[in-house]
Amino acid sequence: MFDILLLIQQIINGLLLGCLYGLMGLGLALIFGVMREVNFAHGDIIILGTYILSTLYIWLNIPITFLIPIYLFMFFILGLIINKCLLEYPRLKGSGGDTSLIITYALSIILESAMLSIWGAYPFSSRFRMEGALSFFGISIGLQRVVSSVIAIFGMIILFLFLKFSMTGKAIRAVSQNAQLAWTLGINAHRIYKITFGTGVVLAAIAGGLLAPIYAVTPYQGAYYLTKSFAVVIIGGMGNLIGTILAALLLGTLESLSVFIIKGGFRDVVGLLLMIIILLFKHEGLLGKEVRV
Amino acid sequence: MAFSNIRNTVLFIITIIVIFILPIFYRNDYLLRIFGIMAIYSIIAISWDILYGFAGQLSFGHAALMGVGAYTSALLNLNFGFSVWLCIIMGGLLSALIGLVFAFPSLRLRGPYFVISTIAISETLRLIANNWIEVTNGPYGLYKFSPLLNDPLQSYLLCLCVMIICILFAYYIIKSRIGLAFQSIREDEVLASACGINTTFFKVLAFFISAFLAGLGGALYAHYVVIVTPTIMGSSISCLIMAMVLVGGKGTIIGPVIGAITLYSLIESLRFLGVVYNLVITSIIIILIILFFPGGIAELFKTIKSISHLKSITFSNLKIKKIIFTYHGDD
Repeated sequence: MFDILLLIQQIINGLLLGCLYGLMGLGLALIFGVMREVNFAHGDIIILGTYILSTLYIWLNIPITFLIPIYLFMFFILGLIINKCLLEYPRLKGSGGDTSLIITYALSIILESAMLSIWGAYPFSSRFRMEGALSFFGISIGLQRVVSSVIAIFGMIILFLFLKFSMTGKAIRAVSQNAQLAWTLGINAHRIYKITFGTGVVLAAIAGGLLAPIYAVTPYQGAYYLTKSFAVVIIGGMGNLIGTILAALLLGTLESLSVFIIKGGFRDVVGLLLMIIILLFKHEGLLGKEVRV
Repeated sequence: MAFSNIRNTVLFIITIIVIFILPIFYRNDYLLRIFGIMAIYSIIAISWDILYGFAGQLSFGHAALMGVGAYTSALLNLNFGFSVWLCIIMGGLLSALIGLVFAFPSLRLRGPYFVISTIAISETLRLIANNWIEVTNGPYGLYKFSPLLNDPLQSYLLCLCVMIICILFAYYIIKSRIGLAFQSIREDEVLASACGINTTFFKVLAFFISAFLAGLGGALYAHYVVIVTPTIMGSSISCLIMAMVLVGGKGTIIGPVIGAITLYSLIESLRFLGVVYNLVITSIIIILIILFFPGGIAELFKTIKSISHLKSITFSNLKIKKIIFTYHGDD
């Protein structure tokens, strides 16, 4: 039984999911592109965002429009704290790349355990869900998915404008191309590192906040979203932001379509397999330029 | 090497022997069980140390290899009724084959790329264990297979024997030319291959040996606690293994054993806090150790000693030269 409408609906769902994956991947890609450090706590920050946004919404009981700036500011500060306490010391000491990998990995375990002890292991979904669906030509798409994806696309556009036109954005791009040369031009690379890490964490938090109304999350899902973000970043090419977004759309579509062929539980294997294949045969990513690893 | 000093090494070995002999005289089933698991974790920690501490290949998916060994052994025993000994060996061998899958990306990738590939492979293995319900019984796990031995004391002594054999095996490997080749790859892979070391072969060999030991430990663990669930392939166990090696001191053979004893007894004594806080403590220990004492307990003793004797610490450049010199001097 093969239904063309179902196929189209799955493709649209996949693209909408892909927008969220893109936002997740961008945070990781930005941090890697500028600092050559991989943030293994990315997935847990996404989940933390989901929990914090819903909890703040219940506690403070203020409109979501006022809540969002507070929320984003909180996560920016969290990013600065992580950068200051954990990553700056090894970076200044010049110890190898393994150090930051192990530290962020340990941090991800800490965050996971903290969430587990605060919110428990039960699936948690947010209170502010938009009910209803958009229907056209016999296809119906959940309204909440559409709204989340639109916000995600909006967030990506703002990020690109920031990187392209603002002074800080230009400095970030300069540091990512050559940090030493940027120093000689009077750019304080350590300040740029701070801002970049904060921005990466904020992007993860936005993705988490948008995910909250669509999927129920548990604290154990950090690794799940981390591997998703990684898959996206690697398929698109590490540090390549456009490639990341295209890869996210591709992955979302493939995952949605894979349910026609294999069991639902194995859906997550698609991204991992694609990632392993890309890593082995074209490790600079589908769009990436040749990178020295 | 951190244990160039004979007196320190002997001191550590005597401490370990005393710690492992204690429960035999105390005759408490609970303590025997704990110390048995400690011995098994020592094997697995040594296997990760061969990979990271000696060959320099950072893998975050080591628990998956342990899990492959455990599942293979349990399934063979459950479905085909093989004897426990054969099952444990088969578990080690299959895990070694999966280790080759882990090794394949390491030939092309370096740094974060390689680490991500290890996570991807281990997550895939965990998802298979979780979702292939007909064979692995999904999240409920396997539990109806035969235990190692029926007497707790005998089981403990068996684990201890396997641990000692593994330590001697690892020591033999590291002291041979293979170990020197591993260390030269860790220090500088390009230089090592320029010096005529077949880096591809030795990297694959490092994964093979490490995965074999991990699978052996996992299979032993499965028959010792008589339950296998997908949890043992998860990141928390990988984290624990890493913490053991980093606390004890990476790049040593005794270090992981000391780390396993220290960390497992710490976690076991803090069990009243709940599993969640144990993980937090493990992770905080990892961060503190890697930030302030990258050499672990072994290095700590050495530093104290070198301060008291006003000796300078060896430079890594000197170390590379020595390793390459020794490697070619052997030829």
